[in-house]
Amino acid sequence: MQEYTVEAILNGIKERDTQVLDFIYTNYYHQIKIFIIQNQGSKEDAKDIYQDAMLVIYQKLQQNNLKLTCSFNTYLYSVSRLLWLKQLERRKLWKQFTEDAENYVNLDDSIVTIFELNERYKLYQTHFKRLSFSCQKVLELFLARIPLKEIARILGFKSESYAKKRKHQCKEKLVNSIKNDPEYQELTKHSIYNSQYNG
Amino acid sequence: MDRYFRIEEFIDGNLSQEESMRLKNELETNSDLAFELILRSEINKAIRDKNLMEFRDLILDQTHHQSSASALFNLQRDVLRTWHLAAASFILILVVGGLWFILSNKPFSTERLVSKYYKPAQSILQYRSLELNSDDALKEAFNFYQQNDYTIALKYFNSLENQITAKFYSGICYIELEQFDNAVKSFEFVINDKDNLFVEQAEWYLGLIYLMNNQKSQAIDQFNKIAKSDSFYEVQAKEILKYLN
Repeated sequence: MQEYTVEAILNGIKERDTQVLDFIYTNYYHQIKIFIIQNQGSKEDAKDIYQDAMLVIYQKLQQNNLKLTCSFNTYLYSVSRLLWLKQLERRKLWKQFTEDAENYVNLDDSIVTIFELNERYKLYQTHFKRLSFSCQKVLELFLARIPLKEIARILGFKSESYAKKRKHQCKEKLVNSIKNDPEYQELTKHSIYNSQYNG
Repeated sequence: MDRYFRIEEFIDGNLSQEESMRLKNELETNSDLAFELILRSEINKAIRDKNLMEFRDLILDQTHHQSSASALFNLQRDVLRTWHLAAASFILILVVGGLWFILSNKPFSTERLVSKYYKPAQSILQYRSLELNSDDALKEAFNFYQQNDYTIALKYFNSLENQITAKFYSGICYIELEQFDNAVKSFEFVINDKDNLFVEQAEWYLGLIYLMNNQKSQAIDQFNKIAKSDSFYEVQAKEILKYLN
């Protein structure tokens, strides 16, 4: 398999290059899996954590907010390790954590913040995809800053004001469906997003 | 004015300066309202963030695909550990021989190609063309299409007769319903029209239908045509041609 420099790996993630993603998985996933299995996790947990870590790294790259001072392998392992410790804490199992032999670097809070934001985005996007076709379209077009008049024309609404009313109804439907999801309650309970308002 | 509506209007920039100031003051003392504002703004950002959605799907696909491959690898490793080398070699010869036999019988290899490359087209998620114009039937069709109810979706698509978007998606429905001859007709209609956004996709699906029908020479012709063009599917067509040749 082809070898990649750190820059090529980071660029590959940013560009969503499947060959680079395959290289990362093939070469670096195994040690993450070992770490998680040794620390109360399952193979499924390992896969979830790997995916979450890759999403965090992708988000940091999108924000041009990633400067590595270690190898990519060590960084990916460190992000995964931190996210798994967070999970153990949620599951109240963190006392059973076994120190690991792999090298890792200490990471700042931004990793956990991005991870929690990604979890919420995933939930919002899941509920969005459950809306009717018409609701999804009206929200998408509205958020793409297409003028209401044009939205009304595209979607066949009788007037601009009806398009606005429909946008409002669809957004309320989405917000309510998210708020009623138990996962949302769980996420906001754990999230540091809550701490912004609770002192 | 409903207070959530007011927050939405604030996010959308529709409140007057005075109304905005009043709301901002209220946000400082009302944490529920502030929470609501953050939630609603985040939802908007999440809907806009198509890149993140796509990257998540890509990573999910990748880990799923890789873990299946690794399960096979582990099985091979275990077999080698457990058996004598001679027995393992014998198995290897059998496996290689079996694979050669299977691969030389095209149905297996084309099935694998199809399962690797075929995915039903996503419904139009973006403001893609003016053809979306107010057709209730089209909206209904996409509703059913998104729920994988291809039989009913097809009825709606077909009610629109020669509308290009409907014609293209009717082709996908026919594939899903394994009515390949009808699917070919739909895609040929789209391709012959020339002046539309679905031509490249229709060419691609036509090639895949030939694979599904084990029509190897037509499939090679079709993928050669795609490989030589500037199509979005140029690279994938070349990959398929490597297998077919």
